[in-house]
Amino acid sequence: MSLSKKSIHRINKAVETQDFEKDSSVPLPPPTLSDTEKTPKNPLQKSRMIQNLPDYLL
Amino acid sequence: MASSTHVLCFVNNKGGSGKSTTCANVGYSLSSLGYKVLLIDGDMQLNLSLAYFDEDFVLETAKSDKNLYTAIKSQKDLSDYIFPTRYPGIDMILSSTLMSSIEYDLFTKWQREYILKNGLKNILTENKYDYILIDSPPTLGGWVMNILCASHYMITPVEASPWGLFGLANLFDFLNEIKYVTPDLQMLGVCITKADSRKSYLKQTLSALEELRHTHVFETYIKVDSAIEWSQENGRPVMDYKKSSRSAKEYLCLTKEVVERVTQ
Ligand SMILES: Nc1ncnc2c1ncn2[C@@H]1O[C@H](COP(=O)(O)OP(=O)(O)O)[C@@H](O)[C@H]1O
Ligand SMILES: [Mg+2]
Repeated sequence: MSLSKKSIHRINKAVETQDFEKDSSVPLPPPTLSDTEKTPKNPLQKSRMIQNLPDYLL
Repeated sequence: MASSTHVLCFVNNKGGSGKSTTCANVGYSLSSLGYKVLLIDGDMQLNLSLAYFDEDFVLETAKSDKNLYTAIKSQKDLSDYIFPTRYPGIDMILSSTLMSSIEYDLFTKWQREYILKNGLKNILTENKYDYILIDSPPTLGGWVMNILCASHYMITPVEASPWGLFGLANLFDFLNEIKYVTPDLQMLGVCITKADSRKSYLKQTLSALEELRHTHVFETYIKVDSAIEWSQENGRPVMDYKKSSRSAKEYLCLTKEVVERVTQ
């Protein structure tokens, strides 16, 4: 796994043990390792961010 | 009476991640949306101060008694350290190069994590500002703890690079460890700065960030723009220096997202 992806997983793990987020109404999944692989991405965030990229990068 | 002032800090212990630039420009954009803003320059590099004032004034204030360092060192009410900027609706507490020794000064103080929070109490009670924005140094010591303890929300600007994301993970590990000291601090979001859309690596960063769960990433990211450097060369926020620039528009969009998340 690349450094950036490993870092993201580390952040997810840190956040799952402590609730940093404002919207704590979102239930947190249990902090298990295998869980990191299973949870689906946030599709809204993906599409909006990728929209900002020039076409040739997509 | 509860204060209606929102206190936001810009924190990332990685230097050059865009904290000062983002703090300065979100501050200006907030004011352009009609909010009253107090900026606090928490870094000895004086960059936030330089974004609004000319060098002579910044250096003069840094040497005087009317700066953040003196106020914190002597545990004063920060109301007496505020300067108006050239823009109505934006005030600032300037920094000092002596902030480099603030860690030593804090060390002997009782409840040393809360000096900044206490100094802001009257300003908050007066409800004179809608937003207080605090710029921070690229460290994670007792002074940054003060900034975190005084803030309601934290925004983390991050550069779209592998070491940028590695640093972000280290920052989250740190936040995790100190959570018991800052139970009310909320991570408002991560903001990507200095994004270079000509580089294929940006796509890798964005796709890695999509895997983030429970941590908000602002949809607007700030792209590399030389108007930023020109604006800093001229001691002005980019929206005032060149309103038509890409980064001016991006910072306004980012600011609208910030307001939406704070008030939701
Ligand atoms: N969007 C941008 N485009 C071009 N240069 C930028 C941009 N944002 C920041 N910079 C430059 O990057 C450097 C680091 O930014 P700065 O805001 O000082 O980071 P930090 O406060 O985290 O150390 C500065 O020289 C600044 O001029
Ligand atoms: Mg800075």
